[in-house]
Amino acid sequence: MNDLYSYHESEHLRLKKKKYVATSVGIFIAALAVSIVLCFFVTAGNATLLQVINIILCSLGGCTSLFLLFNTILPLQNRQRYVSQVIGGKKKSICGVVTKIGGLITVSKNISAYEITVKTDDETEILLYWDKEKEIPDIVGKNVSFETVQNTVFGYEVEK
Amino acid sequence: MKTFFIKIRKNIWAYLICIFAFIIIWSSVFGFLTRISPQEKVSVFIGSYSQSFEKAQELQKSRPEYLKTVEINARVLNSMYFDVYLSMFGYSRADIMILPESLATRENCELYFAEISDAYLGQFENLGLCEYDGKAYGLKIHDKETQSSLISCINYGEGDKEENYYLFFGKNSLHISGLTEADKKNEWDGAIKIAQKLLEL
Repeated sequence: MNDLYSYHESEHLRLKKKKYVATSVGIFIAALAVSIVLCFFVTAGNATLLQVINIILCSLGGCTSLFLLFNTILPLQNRQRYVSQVIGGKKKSICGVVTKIGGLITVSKNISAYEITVKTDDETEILLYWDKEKEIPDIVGKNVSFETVQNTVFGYEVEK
Repeated sequence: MKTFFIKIRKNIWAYLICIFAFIIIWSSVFGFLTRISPQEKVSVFIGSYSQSFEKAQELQKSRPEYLKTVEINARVLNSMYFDVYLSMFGYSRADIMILPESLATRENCELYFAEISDAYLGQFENLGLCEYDGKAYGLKIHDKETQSSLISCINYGEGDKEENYYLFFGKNSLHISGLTEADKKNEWDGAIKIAQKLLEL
């Protein structure tokens, strides 16, 4: 059985997220620290200039941190949660012929998956979800044994 | 680049809140850092029918060296929030107040205005005064009967609105040491000097 997910992947996502959180917080703290240091040099003549510099510095730092949060950290967290759910979920075996690989649908926040139609031995059609991030092998028309967690493909094995 | 802007547009509210928050925070911080303490400024409150005081620059130029600024608050008497401004910027903070006779009540004089010593009054022999119980609190700067004014650039009103106007010194002012101790030389007499300059305008 070829497993699509592993604890290693979950750990890798956790570390990556940690790295981005540190970068995001670091950028913001650095901008804030520079602004605070500039405050010690305020005089009546340069107050307006320093005020504008501080507003720009902190806004840039804050917006960069928010950009990382919205576009990297939160998607990574969603993915890590999704992977953990799939790894820890109750597994079920489904065997059948893959008849079609459909389009993308959203299965969880920021997680997309391909729809796979499987026709079982008793002619029932089952819809399974194949994570977009995982490469789909050439399985159309083949008899495949799937291990699934709530219709998400966790592992597969092409039967001869 | 297009993706970058799409990503930004998705959460534009958060970025805008962030920028506005920093504008407010740093404006407050710099306002605090660059604020001028009451020891370094003389505040003048004018309650008349003038919305501004056009000789403000002249007052700034003639301020004593120890003062950083002369702050002028000119408020229109019949404006909706005049009483609020008078309480906020006049009675509680101003070193010099120019107000109409209707506000020169005994209660106000005792509560908010400094008593002017005879020694100081000696230099204004022909000037009218605002007096209660033999104590002088204000110098008359505008007489509605004779239409004479010591400060010409103030709109004292017309017709029924016109009143006598007085110049008062704030009771809590830090800059009137020469007012009560006119014979003593004291450097904290910024309000006295500014008042004298006002009377020359």
